[in-house]
Amino acid sequence: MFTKVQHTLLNNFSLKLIAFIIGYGLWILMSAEHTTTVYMTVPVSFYNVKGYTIDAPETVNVRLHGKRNDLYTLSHKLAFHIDGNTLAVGKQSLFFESSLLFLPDTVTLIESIPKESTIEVRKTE
Amino acid sequence: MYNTVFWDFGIFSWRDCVEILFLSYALYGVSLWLQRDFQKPLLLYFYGYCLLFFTTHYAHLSTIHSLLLTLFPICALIFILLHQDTLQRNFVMLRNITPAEQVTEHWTELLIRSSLVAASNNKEIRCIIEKGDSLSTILTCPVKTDCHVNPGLLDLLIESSLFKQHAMLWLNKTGRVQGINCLWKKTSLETWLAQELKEREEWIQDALFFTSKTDALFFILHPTTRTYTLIAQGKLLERISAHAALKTIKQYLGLLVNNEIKGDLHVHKGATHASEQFFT
Repeated sequence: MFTKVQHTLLNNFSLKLIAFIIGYGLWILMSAEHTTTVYMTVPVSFYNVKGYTIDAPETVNVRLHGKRNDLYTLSHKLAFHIDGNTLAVGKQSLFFESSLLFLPDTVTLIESIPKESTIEVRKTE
Repeated sequence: MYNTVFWDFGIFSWRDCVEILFLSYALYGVSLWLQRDFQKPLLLYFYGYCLLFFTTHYAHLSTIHSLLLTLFPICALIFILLHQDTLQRNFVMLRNITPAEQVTEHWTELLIRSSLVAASNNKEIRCIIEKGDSLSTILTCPVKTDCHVNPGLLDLLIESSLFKQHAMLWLNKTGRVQGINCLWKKTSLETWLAQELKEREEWIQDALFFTSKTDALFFILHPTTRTYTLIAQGKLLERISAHAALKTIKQYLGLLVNNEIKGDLHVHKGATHASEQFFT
């Protein structure tokens, strides 16, 4: 039994696979506290907009800098959250700033592409 | 889709892939090296250490985790020390401690005579003679004998149906037959030979490699030409007659008496097709 397990563990493909798994595990552990810069596509989300229709871009590309661990946690949760109460009816410019992303202190927004966008708020009939 | 998959694994750019592949390749190299120690399951110890390291991290056993991290250089050192076999073969050879032992008289002559008899029977004889460095770590020897050369023994061994021509007869410099059917323990690391030698037969490459690492002497008698090829110190002497081969072997092993040395020609490395040459 032990010999069979040993043989399976020690054949060449298994060696490569195990080396890859350990390598990946080590990399995850070692790189968690390192800072990095990433590009993400972030959805634009409006709240408090009952009775209004908004024409706005659905997503915005952003470049973020921060700890890898924090960026990994944020990657599926990040969005621009815009309060509909702060918007007026009609066409207007909307700036995609870091305050709209609710980022933790360890992560900073380097740039948004586009930086601003023209949106239109209309009352629903 | 690919983006999402990579992001799920925390891989944000091609740089991360390079880092992971680099670590994996290094670990694969270490694994291969540890696997080569057949005496101890070092690779399993290494996997155990890694498993413990990851487990302590994810189980938040921070003290043990820090301890494992701090002790890693010591563990690496222990692995290197335990990996005795490869270490000895690649860097330091074990030295033979030879007790005061009577050298079998004229064993070299008996060996040459037996090899010539074997050549008459169309048998090729390969022989490795151990001098100061132990060959036990670099040879696999399925049939160990450990007995002195005597007139009947060599003929009996060579004429045996179990005797393999392409394996080696292993002797030491006192005339003790250590074993028959011996083969080199080869690894992929041992492929450093010069380009011109890579085109030669495999046994020449092996003998050149291992004799350059040790002070052993290898010889082969070709039954068709009845000439010897001698290899020692990584040098090759080819087409040597039986008498010249005997003198060279005796001279190399330090078995020549003064009056035999007188008048002999000492040739340095370079000229390989002379009938009488010596390793200096």
